[in-house]
Amino acid sequence: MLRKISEQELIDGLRMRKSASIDYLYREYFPLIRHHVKLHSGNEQDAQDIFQDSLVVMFSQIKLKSFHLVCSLKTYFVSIGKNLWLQRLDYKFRLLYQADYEVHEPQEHYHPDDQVSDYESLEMIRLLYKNMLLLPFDCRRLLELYCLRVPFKEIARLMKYKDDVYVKTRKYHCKKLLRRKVMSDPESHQFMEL
Amino acid sequence: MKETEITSDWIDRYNDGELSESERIIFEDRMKTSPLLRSEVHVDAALNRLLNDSELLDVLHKINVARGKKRNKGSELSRLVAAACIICLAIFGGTFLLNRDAGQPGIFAERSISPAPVCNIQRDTCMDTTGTINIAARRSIALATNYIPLPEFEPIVGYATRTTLLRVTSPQPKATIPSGGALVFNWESMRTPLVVELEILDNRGVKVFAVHIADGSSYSFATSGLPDGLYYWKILANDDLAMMGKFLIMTLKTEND
Repeated sequence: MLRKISEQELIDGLRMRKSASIDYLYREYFPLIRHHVKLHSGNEQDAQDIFQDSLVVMFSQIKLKSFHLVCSLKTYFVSIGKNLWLQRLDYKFRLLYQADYEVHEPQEHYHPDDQVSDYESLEMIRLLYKNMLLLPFDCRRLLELYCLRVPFKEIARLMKYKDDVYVKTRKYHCKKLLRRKVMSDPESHQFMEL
Repeated sequence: MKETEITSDWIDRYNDGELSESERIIFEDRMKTSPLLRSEVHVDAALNRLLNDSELLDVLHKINVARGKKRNKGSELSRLVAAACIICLAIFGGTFLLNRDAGQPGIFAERSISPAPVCNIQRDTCMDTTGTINIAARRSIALATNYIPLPEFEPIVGYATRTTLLRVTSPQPKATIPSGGALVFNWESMRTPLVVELEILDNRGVKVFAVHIADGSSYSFATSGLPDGLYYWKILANDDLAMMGKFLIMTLKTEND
């Protein structure tokens, strides 16, 4: 039987990015997000996206020294998810119809001063990460090492490249490949000026 | 003077602040006239922010791993269920084929396809040539697919034909309706008598409502009973299409659900 983790353990674990905490959150909270999203015109993939975005938002808030929970962590997480889903529906609707809509505003719409991040930046993060997973192995590895601030000379040694100049050239190539993948992803068209 | 060629590493160097002053001026001039370049610079800047946030990337990676663990557990069960289904089908199919009389149609015999039913939401029925079908079964269709536009209809949405019989004055070709709201159609008849027909179709092209209006120049269509989704409307005058439009029904629930 799996041990139930306390909220403070969860928060501390998430702050330290522990796999066990993230696994627990996925196991316990994802069904709630999925239920809400599917109840409101979404599908399984939408639910996965909203869960990921909610966790990204919660992680960014938990890292702040000023973070203070006034409700249960579950309630907080689910409210982030609900707001994000509302934003997504709102954005997609505007994109489809490019019109001010006449539907009545819900009584408790998301608030601009909520702790929910910018919708577009969350979507972009998701697009970038999704397409990063589709890169060839050496590009993924190089970008991971670059992200960890490993010096170019060390990356050259680890990946058996010629020298650090070659690593820099490869980095440009891999980033360009990722940019082109993102730009040809249909989900990215909402960000493009094309 | 030969135009300076901008290579793709300029995008990285621009966002990293590594272009020289003259290169930066050339690059920014080029961005002013190229939406594609501006988009790529925007994507690269977002990529740089992500690559500079190793903690966030770590969290994303761990979410992906957690998702994979769940999927693997689910897929083991799915494989067992699939294997059991195949065995049952093989037993059932074999038994049926062995016992089937010659000349009798089997369960896989081709059926004739019925014409699409005409449904009347107000009466909660769909009527086709074989009888009445209850509309309730249709509501079980997954809501996400209800919003997919129908490619055959999209090009003619908002297109008013050259019919001289009638002019539609409302609603707008693209409208939005709160769930349970009404869509009001108004038109001006150029000739009398005129039989106006209003048809409402869902995003699969299935007629969900139709009414003939012999008198008057307006009709209020109540959307109660229609599931959320994308719908198309047609106004016909004496069987000629006058105009086609679409509307969206969407329910936005509050925090209390």
